[in-house]
Amino acid sequence: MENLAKSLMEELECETVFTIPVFGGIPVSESVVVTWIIMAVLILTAFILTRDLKTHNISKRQAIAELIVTKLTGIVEDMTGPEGARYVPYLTTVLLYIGLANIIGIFGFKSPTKDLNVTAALSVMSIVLVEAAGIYEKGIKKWLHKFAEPIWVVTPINILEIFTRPLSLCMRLFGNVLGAFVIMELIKLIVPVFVPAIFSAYFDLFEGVLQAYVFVFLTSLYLKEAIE
Amino acid sequence: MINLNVWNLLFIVINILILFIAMKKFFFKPIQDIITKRQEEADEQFEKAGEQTACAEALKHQYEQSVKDMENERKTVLSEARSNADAEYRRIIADAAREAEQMKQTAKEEAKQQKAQILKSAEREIADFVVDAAAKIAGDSNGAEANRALYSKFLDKAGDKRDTI
Repeated sequence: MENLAKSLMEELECETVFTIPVFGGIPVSESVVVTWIIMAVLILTAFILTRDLKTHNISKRQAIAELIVTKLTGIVEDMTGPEGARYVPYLTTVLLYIGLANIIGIFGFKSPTKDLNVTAALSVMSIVLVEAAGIYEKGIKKWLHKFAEPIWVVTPINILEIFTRPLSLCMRLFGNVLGAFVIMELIKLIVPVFVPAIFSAYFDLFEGVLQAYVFVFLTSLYLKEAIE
Repeated sequence: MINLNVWNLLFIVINILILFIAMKKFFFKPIQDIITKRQEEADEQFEKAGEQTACAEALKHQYEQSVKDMENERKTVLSEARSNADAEYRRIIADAAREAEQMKQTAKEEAKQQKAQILKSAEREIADFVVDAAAKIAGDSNGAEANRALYSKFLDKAGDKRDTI
């Protein structure tokens, strides 16, 4: 049992891969490096899929690319509504990133979403996007007025929401990924053969995609609320 | 790793922004553009097909109209010719009838004149005969001349009157 705790902690510990020797050493953690890998995979796939696009006699590759784009943007646009169409590419990118980050553990990498820094960064970006979209679409006056709606008494709670929303986004994603990981480790410890494979399908694949969806869904919910 | 690190946060934010820009530029935008372009092309083709259909329809209409016109013209020409022929026929018949009438009239006239002439000469002969006979009976040749003149006058008057009746 002590060994398990130790190995779990080790798995959770996000090691610093290397240090940039400026400003007294900038640490670059494992999650950042894995993020680079994910970026490389996504951008490379995008490059391959979008080579010589045509309007007629499209290749299979182009058909797949179009299917991915229309399906994903369709899902996200359903959540944001037509007014939020401007923000769909960002949200779709986040969906792809979190989804891939969650399931990259299968390939032997340490999921970046298991690092609180990553989920915190994503949540902060989400709330910045939401508030910026609110100001951009409504104007600063109406944006400020929204804090006193429906009545002035709730203003403190509304202001608090700016901080609680990203916190909940961040902790939900982090906690879910962490929980799934811990459960998987425990199952592997108890029954090392066959059973983990079945549970892995749920906890590593489905749960990862689901959490990506939930994150984007909540962000677009806040976004929709802010711009309507 | 539960503790936060400013550098890591910053790196992740920058990474995600770069990923977003790259994905938008190399993935979402080109594919969205190509879909829009295809839609436009399809719309254009639909429009063109519609135009062509309308054109064909107009041509068909024109053709039908010309066929109808030809039919009408044929009918007019035919009826005109028929009426012309009719008129000619009637004129010829009328001419013939008139000529025949004229000929009949002339013949009648001639016959009448001849009849009158014959009658007149017969009367004269009869008068001569009567006068001769009367003179012979009376034996007076002097008186016979005067009597013939008298009788002839009487006959002329009476005979003419009877002729007109």
